Amino acid sequence: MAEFVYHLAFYLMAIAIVVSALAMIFARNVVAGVTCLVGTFLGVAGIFFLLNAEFIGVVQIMVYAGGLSLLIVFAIMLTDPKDHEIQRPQAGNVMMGAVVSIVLFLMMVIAISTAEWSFSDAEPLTSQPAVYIGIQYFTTYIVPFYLAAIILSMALTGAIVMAKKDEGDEKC
Amino acid sequence: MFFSFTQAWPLWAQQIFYAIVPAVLVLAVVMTSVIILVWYERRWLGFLQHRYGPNRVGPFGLLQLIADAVKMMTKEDIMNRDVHKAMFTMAPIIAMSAAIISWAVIPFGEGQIISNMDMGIFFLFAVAGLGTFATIIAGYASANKWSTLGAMRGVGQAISYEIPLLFSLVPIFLMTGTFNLQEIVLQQQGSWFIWYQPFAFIIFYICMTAEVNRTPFDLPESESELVSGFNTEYSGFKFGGFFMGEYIASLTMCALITLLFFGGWYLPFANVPAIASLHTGMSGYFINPIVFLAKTYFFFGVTVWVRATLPRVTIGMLLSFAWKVLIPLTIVNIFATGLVLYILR
Repeated sequence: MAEFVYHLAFYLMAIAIVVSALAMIFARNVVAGVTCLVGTFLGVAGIFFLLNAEFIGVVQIMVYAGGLSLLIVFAIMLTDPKDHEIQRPQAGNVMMGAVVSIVLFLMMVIAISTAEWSFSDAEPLTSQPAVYIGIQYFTTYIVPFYLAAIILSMALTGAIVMAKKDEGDEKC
Repeated sequence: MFFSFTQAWPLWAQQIFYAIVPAVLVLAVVMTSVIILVWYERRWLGFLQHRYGPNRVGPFGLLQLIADAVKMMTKEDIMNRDVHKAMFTMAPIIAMSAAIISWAVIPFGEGQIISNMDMGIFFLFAVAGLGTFATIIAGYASANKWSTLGAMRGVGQAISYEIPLLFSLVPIFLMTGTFNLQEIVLQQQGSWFIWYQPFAFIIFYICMTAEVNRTPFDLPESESELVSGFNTEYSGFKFGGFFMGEYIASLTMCALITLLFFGGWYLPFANVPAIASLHTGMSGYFINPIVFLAKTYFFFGVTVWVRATLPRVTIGMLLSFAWKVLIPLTIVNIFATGLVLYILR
């Protein structure tokens, strides 16, 4: 029965992911598309929770559903609102898109179904995953960690330099 | 202990029972709390402003909220011609469910928690952050410039204050070594963390007020400038969704203050054996949630007190205060705590 509840949760979330992803593609309004995208992100986070990966699930909600979607909406709000209600796409484009996506879909199905998956027989990490991840960051993976830190500081400094360019023109 | 009658049941029935019953109990407590809090806020605000507040319907105006709720639910649901219908309807649902889901990781007592997950506090902030998304799609879907302005303000405010809000809690994580809310409270049995981290508490309190849009930081719906901000176009039950979501979010933040700084469900001097015995066994089942809720309501009262005292700040003051004062202070606090912990090691 526990199996049943697990499978029920999995299939409900899978349906939610697929439906909201399709809705995101077919939504005419851009902001509505982002809203559907948030649904997809939340469904993926739910899958991570089912897989005992609490940390990644929470980060998925925080970074993707919370942060990234707001960033996208902010970027959309800086564009011209007249472009938001788009006319129907032309038939030629639809055909091209359909062909490309069917080919891509078939390639992915073949690749995933023929791949040889390796399963780890380690126990899932259920107690204090954050502590484990923190220790790993500061011991084994210290170089990637510092590289990410340097790249992020560069991005932040670059953003500040670009924003400061027209200083003195106006104050918010 | 109460649910020992389920031991004779088959395993699947027990699983379903334990999945549903705690959630329903917490939902009942939270929803009832909202009703009590609205009455409490209005009476207490009336007292602070030297007037009566609701006092006609029922004893001390206690039934006023029932009357208001019935009015809100039976009101005509007006929808502007230009609104984006799907998003307009979704926004209050997202706001309210984001506020309620965060109660899944809040412990009412030892073991009295829906999901005792190790990433508890991060889960809470991640889910509560989705409420910001509800604000912006409400403002966008309303097709109203005041709503959009209010929503943009709300998002700018929320993402600026989320950084010091989380940073101010890092010293607590450094001291306890866990993100699990129940574990953090269990470590406060001897003495509350307010004695070790008063600066973190003050910063957290300011950021919390901004994060849940309460006065003096209620800029997303500043009624003197923006009509009613992002919920201008909402009426009836949909407005009720935002209203309840906002109160539940305030309650969540007050609960977090209680859990992180004021010892959660522990009475003062809980390390004295006589008092410690109250918190265990059968008496703990009743005393722990009552103490926890009493402290939470007390801090809600403090936010109302602040609301009655301070005028609203402007958006420029708000954002520059977050980035220029609060974030540097939190970083200094993190380093100071780390240094002290390193010396005491």
